[in-house]
Amino acid sequence: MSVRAPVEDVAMREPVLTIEGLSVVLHRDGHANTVLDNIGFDVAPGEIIAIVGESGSGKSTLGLAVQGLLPREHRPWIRGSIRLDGTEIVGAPAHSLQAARRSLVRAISQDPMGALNPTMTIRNQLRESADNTDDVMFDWLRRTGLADPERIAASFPHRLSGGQRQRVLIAMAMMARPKVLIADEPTTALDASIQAQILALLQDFAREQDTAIVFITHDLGIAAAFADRLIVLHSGRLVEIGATGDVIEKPGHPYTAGLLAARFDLTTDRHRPLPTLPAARRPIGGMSQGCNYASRCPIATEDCKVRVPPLQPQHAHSGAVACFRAAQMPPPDRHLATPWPVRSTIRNDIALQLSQVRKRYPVGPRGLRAARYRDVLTSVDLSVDHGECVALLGESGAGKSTLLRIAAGLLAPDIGAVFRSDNTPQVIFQDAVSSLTPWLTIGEQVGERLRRSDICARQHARRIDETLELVELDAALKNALPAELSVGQCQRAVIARAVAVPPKLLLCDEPISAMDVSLAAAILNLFGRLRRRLDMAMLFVTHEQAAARIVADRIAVLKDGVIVMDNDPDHLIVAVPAPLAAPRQSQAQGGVR
Amino acid sequence: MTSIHDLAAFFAGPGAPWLARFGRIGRLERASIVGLLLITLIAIGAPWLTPYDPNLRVGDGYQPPSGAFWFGTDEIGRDLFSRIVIGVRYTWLPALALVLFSLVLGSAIGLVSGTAGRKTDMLIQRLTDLVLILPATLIALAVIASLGPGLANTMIAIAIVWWPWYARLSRDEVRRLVARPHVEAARIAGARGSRLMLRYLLPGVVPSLIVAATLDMANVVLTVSLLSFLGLGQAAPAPELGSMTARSLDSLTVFWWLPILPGAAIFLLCFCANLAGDGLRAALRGR
Amino acid sequence: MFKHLAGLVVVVLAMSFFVFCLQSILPADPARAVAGPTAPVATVEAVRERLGLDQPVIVQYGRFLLRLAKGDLGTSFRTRQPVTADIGKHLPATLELMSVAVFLGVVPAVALALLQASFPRPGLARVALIGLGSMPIFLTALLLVYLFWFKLAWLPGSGRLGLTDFSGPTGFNLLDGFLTGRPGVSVDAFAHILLPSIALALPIAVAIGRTMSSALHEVMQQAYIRTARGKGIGEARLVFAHGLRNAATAPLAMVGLQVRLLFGNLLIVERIFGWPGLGNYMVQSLASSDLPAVLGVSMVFGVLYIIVNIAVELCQSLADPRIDL
Repeated sequence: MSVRAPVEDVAMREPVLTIEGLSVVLHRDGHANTVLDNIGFDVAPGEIIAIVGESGSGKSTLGLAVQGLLPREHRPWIRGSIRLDGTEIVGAPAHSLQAARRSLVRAISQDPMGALNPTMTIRNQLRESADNTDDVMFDWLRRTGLADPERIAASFPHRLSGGQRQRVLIAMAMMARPKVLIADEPTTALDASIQAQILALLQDFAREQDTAIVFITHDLGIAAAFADRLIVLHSGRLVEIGATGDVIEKPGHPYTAGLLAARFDLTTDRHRPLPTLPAARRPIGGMSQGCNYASRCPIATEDCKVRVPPLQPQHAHSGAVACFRAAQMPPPDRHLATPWPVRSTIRNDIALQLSQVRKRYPVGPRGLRAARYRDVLTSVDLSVDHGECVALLGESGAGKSTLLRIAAGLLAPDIGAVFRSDNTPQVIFQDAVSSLTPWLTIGEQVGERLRRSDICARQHARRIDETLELVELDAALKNALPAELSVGQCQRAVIARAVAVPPKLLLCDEPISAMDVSLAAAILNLFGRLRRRLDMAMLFVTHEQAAARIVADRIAVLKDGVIVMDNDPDHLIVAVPAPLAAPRQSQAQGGVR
Repeated sequence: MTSIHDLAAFFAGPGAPWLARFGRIGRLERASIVGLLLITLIAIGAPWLTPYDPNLRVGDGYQPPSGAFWFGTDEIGRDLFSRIVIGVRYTWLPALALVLFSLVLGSAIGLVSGTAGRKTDMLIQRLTDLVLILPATLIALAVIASLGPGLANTMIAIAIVWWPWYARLSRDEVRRLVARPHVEAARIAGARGSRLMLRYLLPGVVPSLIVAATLDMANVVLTVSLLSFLGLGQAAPAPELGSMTARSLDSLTVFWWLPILPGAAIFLLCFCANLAGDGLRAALRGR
Repeated sequence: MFKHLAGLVVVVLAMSFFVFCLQSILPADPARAVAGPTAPVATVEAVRERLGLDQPVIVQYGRFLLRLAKGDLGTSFRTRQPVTADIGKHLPATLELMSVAVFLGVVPAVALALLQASFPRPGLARVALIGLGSMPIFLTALLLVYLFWFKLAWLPGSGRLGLTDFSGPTGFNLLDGFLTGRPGVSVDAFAHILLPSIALALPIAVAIGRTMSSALHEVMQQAYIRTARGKGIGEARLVFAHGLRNAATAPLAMVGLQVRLLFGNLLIVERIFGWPGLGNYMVQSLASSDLPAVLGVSMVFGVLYIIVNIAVELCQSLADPRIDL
């Protein structure tokens, strides 16, 4: 079942991690859910292997299974074999699992903020990791790029930034000199500039310590830039495995090809809709009888729906693919969609204008003494014309959200003027699921905005249907509650509520940052279509350059409380300050090209 | 963190969600919820349900529990079972009324405080803080000592110290909800004033308030019985559970059922209320 | 720390104002109460003038505060003694009982919660805890007396000491026995304090145990526990080194809350066990409508409660570095 990639110099060595026929069933809300089905692969020492999949593909469960840390509250049931340096993990007694975690496998997790004990100093937490002297400990901290290890070691976690905590966690994992490191989305919670540094650090450690890294991510681009081999996971099944270059250039599985096509980066054509993948629909119980991808697959046959395709060597590259129709894969075509219509609205008609806006917040302990303030926005000038989309780009903490809230009128600026042509601008927040009231149906919530206009009940219902159709949401869902919807559907419902009465100004706060790439592409397309059709002005706040470039007519970069750049998207990419632009670009191009 | 998504799961879910969730409550907890309803019915119908008149001498004094007198008779020959049933009525119904009163008043004040401006909020908060920080039982004692004993005065005294707790709870819940994007989104979509409160806030606050109130029933019952034990409840001949125990303390070693059984009745009430509250909490939050 | 002392002052002021208001809205006439029911009107008026009751309310409150600052809580109607003196006489016994009760409540509860976190077994234990937590305090006390004093005769069922004429330097008999070189007294004091303090400790133990256990349960699912588990740390060390301190905040707050409830229970337990403390004093004062005594004791309990809560917040900030004082 396991397939070895012929990567020179690693292929020759005994694998440090061997997984065979691994299946995992977890129980949630009383239902048994097959999360992983018959997974098998090897990892050689020092190799970096990326496990790529959408949310719900079971990739994190795989990481936990290797550590023997499947969540007890979900009553895990596990079959198959996981051998770590010769030690069997599946079914091992607690003490040997503990020993394996101590010396063989370590992990760094997605959320560095929650992963350190808040009531224990860094020093004590590091000391638990491996028996080292303070000097060795400081050395490790220094090697992860932390300049003053003594201070860091003496601190409690809440005094450190996200990037610092992730470095501490890496030092904590690496100082135990594990054979395998599980890195589960280690950079998603971090800013782009820090992302690249952390990845480089991991790469160095893998080479230097001969530690194999299992890198779990939803971002094919990062995986491509970072890993030696790729594993593509779809709905708990391994669909493709192979050397990174092979899989990226000659994807053997339609899902891999779809993921690659739906990916957008700084070179994607921004004058037409992005190619997208059909939305994920996970079968009940976790697994279907046939190929899990069949319902989304453009080239599926009847056979695909009744039989599970086995993992077979791929003719196009040296890896393996689980698809009956791998040979019939159509050549990749990235320019199918018709271009967006060229805008014909007259410019110079302002929808939103901020002039010299300043906002500051008190910092530090509030006491009897005068409070100290920190300027979030120093002096911001920004204008959005009618029908125009401006992307506001900036790192976390740059004050993007504050600016958006001021623009929306949810927050008053300390100094400065705000002009809006529309007094009820609509706002779309980052977390679509929690933007919907859990106890009201989608129809009721979308209808909230229609309530004010004087229309009768039947018209009201029809308008709701029309609005749902506009955002490509099934009209039957108007009677559904938010909990019954997927993330993508929730975001569409939120957009529907915003455009039920088309606003002149739509403000979006990181609406796609928590989404899988394929879903993000679909939502970006929707924004592109809606703003052109309804002639809305848009302010699109994001930290992702690629998304900003695709959605906007103009990009404004917010840094240190001022707009440092306000330019045409394609010019901006060349001119943007280095730490913000460089990493993503280099990864994306280094990997995919 | 928990409650919004759990609430979502609670209100949504396939089929009949309320019933399905009820099915998830443990067997004992379900029995206790039914038991509480039964107790309430018995309390309401108590005057017609007692086997004997609780205030009249119906047999010899100090009879141990028997077929004729299930819980025995007291020092002057009144039927203890009938007296306890009436005692439960005089404990449970006022406790229910008190919690309902606190719940309504407290959540109304909490809703106002949570949605009003900072100054109003501050004012209400300081006021509730003040009442909350004073030891409740002592304040109640002091009030009763001033007003004089009696069921109505006892209830007034407890109510004075009881509602701020609900005001605090509902205010905190409202604040938590208001900070959630969906309330802000509703406001942006045009929901204002009472519509925002009743449609977008109240349904989110009510479940946790109901759980808190159910779990609180036992506290009220214990406090009422404590005051009654201290002689601050109804006047002497009335069958109150706490004072029945207090009066027969000295006969503990000879006629154990006289002080113990009224206490056991209080125990049963509190046990049911606590279990029911626990069950409801499990249904709403998942444990 | 400054904040807490200011809070203490505010609360004492609030308590005093509350107490003062209660005194003012009394249906009974305090001057008449002092002068006696049969005194002629002229005497009552003289008393009224002497007590300053003919002054405006705000002046009366000012005087009340002044007297309070001097430690004067008025004169008990029942004992005809200054309330302050009465309280001084009864306070050590109550403090001793409270301390032992809190200790007996907290220590086993924490131990059991830790045990349960290491060997999770819900179900029966939970129901048993709910059951214990539903016992009215007088039922617990009565059952204890009935079983351990009457049936088994292992422990004394009332009083504070077998001796009648013992008095030591601190007023705490448990300590004074050793301090005066009579360990037998301490042992006797321990035998006497055991039953009442167990009765008081039971509700505390149940509340702390449940809070601690659910706080631990929640903490043990946090990401940092997974990090620590990923380091290959054993479950016991996980609970003790990582769980305990993180789970401490809620149970500590519960200690504060339980002390508040303890005051009410003290009255009953001291009454049932004939414990010569403030609770018993209060019960007797209540029975004879001795308002100055009732309000004075309430005041003392209020201050005690605030001191305990300041201690609780101190402990919380020690446990969690993120909480600033």
